[in-house]
Amino acid sequence: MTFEACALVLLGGFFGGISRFFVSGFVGRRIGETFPWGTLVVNVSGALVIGALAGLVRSRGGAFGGETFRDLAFVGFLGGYTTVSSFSLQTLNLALDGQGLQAAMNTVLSAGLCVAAVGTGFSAAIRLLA
Amino acid sequence: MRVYLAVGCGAAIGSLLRFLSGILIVSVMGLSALWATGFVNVLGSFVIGLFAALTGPDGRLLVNPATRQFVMGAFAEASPLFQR
Repeated sequence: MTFEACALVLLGGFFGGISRFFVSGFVGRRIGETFPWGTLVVNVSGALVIGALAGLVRSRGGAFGGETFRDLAFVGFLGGYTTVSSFSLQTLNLALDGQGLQAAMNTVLSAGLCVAAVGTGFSAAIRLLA
Repeated sequence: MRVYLAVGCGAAIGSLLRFLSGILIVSVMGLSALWATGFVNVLGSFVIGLFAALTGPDGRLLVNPATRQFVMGAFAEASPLFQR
């Protein structure tokens, strides 16, 4: 752990958080905020991107396989972009509002779509860069 | 604009905390990276729930929207899909 690594994580996290706020706000305003589509879109798109970046690291390596890229893009930006705590709070709020089915649907959709997206991103990157 | 800055700064600090927790759990304690991710996500969810309850309409703390976004931003960050 170096000062440089911390600075990269802070920088990536700053822009990741702002991107999340922008994307989830945009989706929420467009589709409505009764179901947390914004957070779902953020987490699924983050999973797609992290899968693609993992594919990039796997097939290209080099600078992408180094600590600088990892700290900035994976740990900083995507860590700041995706969110489990917002997902869990919104699921709790659905349950507290008596929307048990929607709460369950949010949980299943989030987990399922994120895992599907990470696989899609990874295999797409491997194929495109092969 | 102010809210975006608050979210960005909170997210930056949250990302750093997650990074440092990862180092502590993986490098110092010698556990797998899966434990680091799990711990950080569970703790982040706990803190965001606590904060939401304390600052809600009938909560004990009165905070302005920027502060709320800052804290939510920070702990919303303690939640990666990936941890080294």
